[in-house]
Parts: sequence; structure tokens; C-alpha cells
Amino acid sequence: MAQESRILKGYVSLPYKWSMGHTNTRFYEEFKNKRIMGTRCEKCKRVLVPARSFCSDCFVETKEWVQISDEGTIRTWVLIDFAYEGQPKEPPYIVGVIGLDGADVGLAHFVGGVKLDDVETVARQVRIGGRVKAVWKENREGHILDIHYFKPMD
Amino acid sequence: MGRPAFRSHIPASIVASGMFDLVLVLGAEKMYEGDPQGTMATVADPFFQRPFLAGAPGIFSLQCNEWAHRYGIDETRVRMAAAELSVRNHDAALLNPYAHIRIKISVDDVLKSRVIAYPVRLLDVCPASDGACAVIMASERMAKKLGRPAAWIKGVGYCGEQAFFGEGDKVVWRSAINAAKSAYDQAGITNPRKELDVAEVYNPFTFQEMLFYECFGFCDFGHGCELVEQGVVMKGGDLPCDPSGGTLCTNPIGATGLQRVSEVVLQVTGKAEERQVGGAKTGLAHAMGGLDQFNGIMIISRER
Repeated sequence: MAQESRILKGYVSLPYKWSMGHTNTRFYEEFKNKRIMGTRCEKCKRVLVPARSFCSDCFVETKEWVQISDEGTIRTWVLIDFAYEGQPKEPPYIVGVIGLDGADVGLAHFVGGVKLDDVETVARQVRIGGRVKAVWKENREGHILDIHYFKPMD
Repeated sequence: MGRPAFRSHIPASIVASGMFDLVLVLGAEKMYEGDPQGTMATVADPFFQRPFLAGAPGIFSLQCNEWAHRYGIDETRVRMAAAELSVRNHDAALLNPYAHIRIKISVDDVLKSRVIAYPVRLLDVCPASDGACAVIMASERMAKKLGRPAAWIKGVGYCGEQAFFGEGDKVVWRSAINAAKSAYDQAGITNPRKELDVAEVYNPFTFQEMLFYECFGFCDFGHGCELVEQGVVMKGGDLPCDPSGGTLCTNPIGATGLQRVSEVVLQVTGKAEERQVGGAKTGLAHAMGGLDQFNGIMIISRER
């Protein structure tokens, strides 16, 4: 009788470099100074954040840069409580889509500064429609994680 | 990840255009070898979204929480309807020799399974599968020449949207609505709930299946749970969904969209054996992918 096939396990590392382009580069330069920038579409008037070089609805170039608040409202959130490959940090942690004041689209980021004991505890502090404010890192490098997380204000 | 949906749509247009008479469409995936979540963790762009949208369960839970909140659907009610859908899919998979997860479970098992990304629990989530699927697409001329029973593609719809997760509305979900609408228009379907006999909804997560019912016009927005509670989408209902056990029980990603198509073909040609939906003439096959941003629909019928 044939033996069951053995399994060989390995790990492949795949280093990458991505050119950020002019718009993303400028966005993150402003980020270092705690400024979240968006661009306004002159056709549909939507303010897009992060800043984009074109409007994805109208397909026109967006030239007007506007500063967005670092406060906003939670549009939706999720508590991740399961470990898997490629996670940004050890679970449990909370991800939210934040509608920043002055922007017309949501921004995905961490929601933090809350007790993570269990879902009920989290749900008492984090709710859809709840107000949040960015908690910035002391040393900023021009990266999306220059914001630690968005902290509930109420 | 967007490819499973494309896989059936492009060959269909190649045959319809007259370029070829006979096309073999093949989808295959061996997910055992890699780590699917490792791949999912790199779907989002590296500049803005990757840390937050790593892995599939989180993305779909964000969507489901927004949906339930938008329509004020009570959490207990959503959980119960999702659990019933999980049981329906698992029961169906027991009758499908091609299904991956074939286990008998109860509503209680689903409600008590461990949380992955709240409110999504283990039995609300699809597995990582190895699998393949093949469909032969033929022109009318070739189908007649071969003289074998065939199903007809009546309508094809495909729609993509922004790669920024926060930009589009994922509840009144434009790509899902538009894909269904264009397929219905081609097929001459005005009342999908009445005119469809079966649907294979791409359902890697139980909650999402109900959101799709709404986007596909099976019911009004905010009323997806009712279709489960009233038995409409259950076995023996007016519009039974996922008689194959769905993506929830078998998900070899590169073949999963095509499997929705093949199941509907088997159903409308009366070849689905133990899981046959009685009298099924016309069905809907659906695929979804990308960063929750692509949807494809195909309407398939026994009648020309």
C-alpha cells in the first residue's frame, strides 16, 4: 500500500519597489505635516481622498487640492480576531472606513485607542456614525501609518 | 481574482462574434500549495489600503456591517438568516459529488462557531479549495452539428468599479446592480424573482449572499433576510439559490466563477442529478472578485 505523500514546506520572499507617482508623493509630503489632502473633481465636485490625479467617475484630471479634516465619522467597521498570513499586526484589531469631514469618499484605516476585550466591549466604544479623530505618530515618514489609528471621540 | 468572472464572459463574446465555433473554457486552481490569505493580503494597493484590507473576511465584514446598519436590520435577525443560509449551502453540498466541504451542520453549529471577523464566523466563510471546471461554448451552427443538448446564453453583464474600497457604495452596490441589469436587459428579464428558476450566487460569505439578492432585484433593498425567512431562496422555494452548495462550500478561486456557470447549465438541462431543481428552465450565474469591485452575471436558459 502506497504511503501518503509527504509535504515539503517552504517560504518565498518577494521584495518589491513601487513608484508612487507625483500625486501620491505630494500627498505624503503633506502627511508629514499632519495634513490630509484631497483633490476636487471640477466636473462632479466630489472631493476625493487620498488625493488622486483623476476622478474615477468622470475620468477628468483633478487639479484642485483641498485640505481635509483629520476628524470624521465611522461609516463601517470590523473587529479582526483571527491570525492569518500577511496581516499588518497581531489580532485583535479594528479596521474602519472613515468618512473624513470635507471628503466625499471613505478612507480605510485602523480604529484604535479602545479596549479590545471582546466584541461587546468594542461595540460599546466603536459604532457606525460615531465620531473619530486621527492619532498621529510623533515621527512621520510620509506613510499611511503616520496615523496610528482613528480614535473615537465620544 | 477578477479573472474567474472574465473567464466565462470573454469566450462567450468570442463565440458570439463568429470568430470561433467551439471554445473550451477552463478554470483551475490549486490553493493548497500557497496561502490564500497571503495572496489576499496583496490585492489592495500598497500605498494606501493594503494594511487595512489584508485578507478577505475583513473586507466582506465591513460590507455586511454597513448593509445591516443602513437598513436597521436587527443583528440577531441577520445572524439567524446567515446561519440558515450556511446550513442550506452545506446540505446542498452533501448532494454534490464535486463539492469540497461536505458536512452536516446545524444552525446552532454556525451560531456557535468561532468569530473570524465579527460578525463573520467560521461557518459563514468559504474554504480554500483545489479544483477545476471546464465548459464548452459553441456557436448555434456547431451545437446543431454536434447534436447534443445545449443550454443557451441569454444575457451577459459585467461591471467593475473603483479600486478604492471607501469610494463606492458597497451596499447599493453599483457593479453588482449594473452587471445584473445589463444581463437582464439582454435576456429580456423584467422580473428576475419570477422569471428565474434557479440562481448560483457567488457566496464566499453567507451575509454577502443576501446583499446580492437585493442588488440583483430578487427583492427590494433592505429585505434580503426575508427571502431566507420566507424560504424563497431555500431548497424547494420559488427561487432556490446555490443548489451546488455554492462558493461557501467549494472555492478554488480560478475555477469558482466558472463553476457557477456549469452548475446553472447542468440545472437548466436537467443533468444536476440528486440536486436537480425541478423544472428549472432559466438560471442566473454570478461571479465576484477584485477588491470587492468586479461583478459578472450570465443568464442561461434551456430555451433559445
